[in-house]
Amino acid sequence: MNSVASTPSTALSQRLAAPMGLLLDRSETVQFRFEGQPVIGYKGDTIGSALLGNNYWMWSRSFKYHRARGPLTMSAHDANSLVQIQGEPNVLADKMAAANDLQVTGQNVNGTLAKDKDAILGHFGRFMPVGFYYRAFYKPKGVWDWWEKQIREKAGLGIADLKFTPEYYDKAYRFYDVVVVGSGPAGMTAALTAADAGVEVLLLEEHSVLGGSLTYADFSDLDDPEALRQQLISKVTQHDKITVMTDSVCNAWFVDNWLPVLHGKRLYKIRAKECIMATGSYEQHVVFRGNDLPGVVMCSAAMRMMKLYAIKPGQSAVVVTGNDDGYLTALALVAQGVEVKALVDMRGGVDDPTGTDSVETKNLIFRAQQAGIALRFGQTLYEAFGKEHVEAVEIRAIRGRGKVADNGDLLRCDLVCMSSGYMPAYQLLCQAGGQLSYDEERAEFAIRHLPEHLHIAGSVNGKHSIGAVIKDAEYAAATALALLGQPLATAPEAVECSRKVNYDWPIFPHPKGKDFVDYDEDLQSKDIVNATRMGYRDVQLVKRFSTVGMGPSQGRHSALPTARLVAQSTNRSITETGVTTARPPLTPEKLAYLAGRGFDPYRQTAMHHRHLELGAKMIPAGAWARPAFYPPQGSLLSGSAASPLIPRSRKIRNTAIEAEALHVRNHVGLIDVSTLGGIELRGPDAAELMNRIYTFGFLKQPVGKTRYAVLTSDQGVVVDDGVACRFADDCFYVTATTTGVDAVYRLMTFWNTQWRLDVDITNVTSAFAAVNLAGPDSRKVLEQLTDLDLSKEGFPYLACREGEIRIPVDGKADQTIPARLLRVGFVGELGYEIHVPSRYGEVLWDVLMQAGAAFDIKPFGVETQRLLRLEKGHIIISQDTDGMSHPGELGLDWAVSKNKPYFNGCRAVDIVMKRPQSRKLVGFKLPANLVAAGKKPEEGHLVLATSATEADITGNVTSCEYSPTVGAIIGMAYAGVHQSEVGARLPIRVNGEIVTAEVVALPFYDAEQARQDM
Amino acid sequence: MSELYQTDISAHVEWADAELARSGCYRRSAGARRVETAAGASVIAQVDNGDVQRAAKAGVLELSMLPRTGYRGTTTTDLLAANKLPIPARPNTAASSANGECVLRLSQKEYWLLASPADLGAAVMALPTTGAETPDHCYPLFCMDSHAWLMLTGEHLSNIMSKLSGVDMRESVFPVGSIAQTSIARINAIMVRQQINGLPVMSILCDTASSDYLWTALMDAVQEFEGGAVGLDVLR
Repeated sequence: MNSVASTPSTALSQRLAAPMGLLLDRSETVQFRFEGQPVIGYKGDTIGSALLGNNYWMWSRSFKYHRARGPLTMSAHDANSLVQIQGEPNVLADKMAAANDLQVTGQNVNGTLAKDKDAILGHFGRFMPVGFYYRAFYKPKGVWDWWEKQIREKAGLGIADLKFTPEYYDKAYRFYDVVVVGSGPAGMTAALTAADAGVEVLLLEEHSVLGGSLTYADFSDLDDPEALRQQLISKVTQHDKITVMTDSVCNAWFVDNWLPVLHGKRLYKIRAKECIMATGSYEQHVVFRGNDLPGVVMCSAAMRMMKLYAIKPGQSAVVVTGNDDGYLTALALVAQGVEVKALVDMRGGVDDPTGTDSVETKNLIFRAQQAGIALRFGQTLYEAFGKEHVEAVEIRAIRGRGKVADNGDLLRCDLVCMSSGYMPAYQLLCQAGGQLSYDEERAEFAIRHLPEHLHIAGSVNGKHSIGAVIKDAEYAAATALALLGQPLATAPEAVECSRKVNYDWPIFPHPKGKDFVDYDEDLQSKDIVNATRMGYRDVQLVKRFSTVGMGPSQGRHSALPTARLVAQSTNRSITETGVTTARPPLTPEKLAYLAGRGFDPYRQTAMHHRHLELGAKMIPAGAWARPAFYPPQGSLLSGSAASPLIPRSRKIRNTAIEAEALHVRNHVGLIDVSTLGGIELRGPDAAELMNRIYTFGFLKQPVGKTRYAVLTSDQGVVVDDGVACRFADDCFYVTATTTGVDAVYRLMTFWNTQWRLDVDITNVTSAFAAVNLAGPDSRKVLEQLTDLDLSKEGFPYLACREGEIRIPVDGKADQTIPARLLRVGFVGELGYEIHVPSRYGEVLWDVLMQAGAAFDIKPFGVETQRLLRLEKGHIIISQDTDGMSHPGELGLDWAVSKNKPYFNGCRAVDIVMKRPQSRKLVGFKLPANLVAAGKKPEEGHLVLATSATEADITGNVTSCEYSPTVGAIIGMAYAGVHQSEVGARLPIRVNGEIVTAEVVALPFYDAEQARQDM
Repeated sequence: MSELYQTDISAHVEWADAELARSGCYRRSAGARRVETAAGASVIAQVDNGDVQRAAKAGVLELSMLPRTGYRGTTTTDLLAANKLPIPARPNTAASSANGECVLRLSQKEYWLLASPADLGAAVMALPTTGAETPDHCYPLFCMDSHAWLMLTGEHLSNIMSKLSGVDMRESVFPVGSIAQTSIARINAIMVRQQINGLPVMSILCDTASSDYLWTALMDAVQEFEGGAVGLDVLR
């Protein structure tokens, strides 16, 4: 076969006659382009089979040497078949269905596939020994900067389309009693055995049709594989307990049989009570020079070409084998009109043809001879010749392990089929903790020590005769059923299979190399051996140094020869050597499966859309979005333009919050505080629980009064705060921080599970919407809407009330909504926190804005609130506190009761507060002109012991803003105790420069509390 | 307008101007007809003429303004019995009253009541709402405001739920009357499988503040089943 493509007009006529072409629908054709040339195929073709049908055997170029590469397995198990489709790289040509109008090209080429300028790299292989990149490119100093550009230019395979339009991918869960992975004879038998017992079974198949090896292989002990396949399929598809998923790849195994399965554009997360892996085994190649040429394929690949796609794989073939399957392939080739010039059996010798007494083998030898196939025993291929397609092979006699005679015979051919044996599809099983042990007698790995509830059946379990495969599947299903509590009445027995399918040393190094062990990474046998000679004796190190097994095929074909080579080179057994760790994913997995339709929860207050309507700059607060400030209309920035690093963005922010702050100080403002946590405590022991949880005393808190509540951790650190409202002797409503409320609720319920206090604890955060109406005119606004006595005496500072808010309705009597009102002074002005059931939150906002219109009410945001509370010296938990902040450091000694036996964290609080204090949270002030000079400290800037830039760090700034009310930069910072006295100088490192602040007494504003106590 | 949590829904919905009580995702509700519930607020009665067909496949309802209440405490069963309401045998099961209310037993001592679509919640609204009205050690809960009430309907319930939750909710293992307090689309929720008006339904009670989020997640999940929003009438 040459490399000249067929014309589309002749391509279809070259296909083999039925029953070849199981997957084809010959009533419909598909046409696409490959490297710009037209390609025609049938519906059911893969891109790869259609290419073969048009005589395109070179599909892409190899990773390192840019060698011509084409089909190897025809089952999407290798990286030779990766092609580029429009904007999508690394598409497996032997898996992706052919479709009209595709634009397919080879990949990893410099120029065109046919004229790849980088193909010359193959001639410089000796300058690129294994791991050369670890030892090159870094000397002389600085040369890497040049090399990096060159390497990046050459790196990667296909070309990603960075302007792609994302497609919709999603995820779903499924649950089954038994999941069977693989639908070959073992898989279908296991599924039927389990389902017949009445359990729910899912049967997974990575390809488009059921049957596994029955779809393409011939068997020495089964006359009609298709008949068996149809028989099994009929039972499986009609069984109401079996769900079948084809085109579905189980891409990993996670603990407790959690199986991610890729199917279409969905990632299924499947839970199986019992899992049976009937994943089969991967046919292995023979290592000889030129074993990567297009036209050199696995025996199973040639069978797939013929049986699945009606492709005649060549005109004249040489088959090299270490087992009976090579014979079956040769016979199938002859049956389809391919001349088999030689069947090279690596086994035995002239006097002892196959080294076996197997009747089946002897029968195959007889059949091959009858078919006129020339048999060569005890020989191997030593080299394949050709440029872009195999043209001839050299056959030599085997003289020992990996050794061949000095001379051989040359045979012209355009197809080489090889089979040196099988490697169990071990990856998923090893992810589950299974261990591989090498059976020297059978030259085969077996899998042991699987976890309970995970079973294997078929060739993955070393069973190769059809009879043994079927029995093994029945046994695996019976074992699974027993674990499900549904044992079979007559449990099958474990089955043994003595058939040997692996040739023990199918590796024939060539002095000139290009005898590939790993096709993905262009690794030759000497590369593996050299890695061990350089000290990388462990197979895991060999992997990391040489990258063997790290390509897309993940060691399916390289693991076994690598284990053999490393074992030989390090004088260890293959079992001792083992294979490299198999990790998920099993097959290349599009990031879309992971990134597709994730869940990104958000929470919205009842007034959320009002803030958006007002053009608020929203910022995240946990899962909430809160208005930071309300910039003037038309000046809201978004995206990167809103970065605080950009002067215009900073100016808009600062201007807005200064204006909002002054408005609250002088008139009235409204802020949405619905995100504040809320916990309701009801019952006779409500006060006792409060007393045990928070630092203050709450037993004597009067009804109708609020009290500051500080929560310390078991380490004595302040972790939350809030306001406790006592609405009845047995009812407290306590607020908590937005992000801390869930932890506080958890803590309360955790402790009360032990204390057994007679109290009901309910997290009511979402049940209430809340606002803070603040400013000297707030009373005037509110008194329009409630019958409560709002006078200073009737509703004094730190009092709380339950009442109603009137809602004016056009043309009707006012309606009312229930409300809880708290007179608190977080922002330092006369103010009312108003809490209403959340369904009324939006109406509450509206009615207050309407009632406040006459007083020029304006909304203010969280950033403004932070400034206002800073002016009052109030801390914000987790902004002004850290993981070490105890009440003493924060000046909260007054909020810690000394008169009660216990509160959460009390012992630790006692200990840490008795220790010599090393730092203290202090207020500081700086001149306003530092803002313009760009020297305003920011949160996190360091406080130093002295003005020397190398001085010890004593603390850090926690809050800092320019205050239009104070007319200066104000802030809070942790400082050394020696720096904490009022009047002390506080060196702060701002962008590398030292600014010296003055420590001042807190608060910065209204020390007499006159404003909030109006 | 901020890009944070920006939605494509209109900020102002005219019909809502007349309503004092509004659900967390009322802006998502659009329909030909609304009906006032016993709580004095409204829910969508009908979206369009395709409601019945959609509901049979994969309907999504927003019932947050349909009354519901809850009680917790050792004497709650006394209250339920006094009101002739069924008491589910064990936690995480539900039972329906003759009138169509659904009583959820969420723990040994916690019970929630979901209104019957038939009476639009009148019976639930007649139950006590304050601690003063309930027996000692029976505390009314705030579930009308703390939790939104969304509902899925139709033959594809199990498949839809499998896209949203890691809990097996196939009818064979999660039959009518089953309750799961678990995660759905990464938020906490209470899910109850019911049969209403011959329709398989799943009531989903989630944090009110997350209802807009969950509505969008549910609407996304039903698309492949030709589903969509439907009105309360499909339950009556």
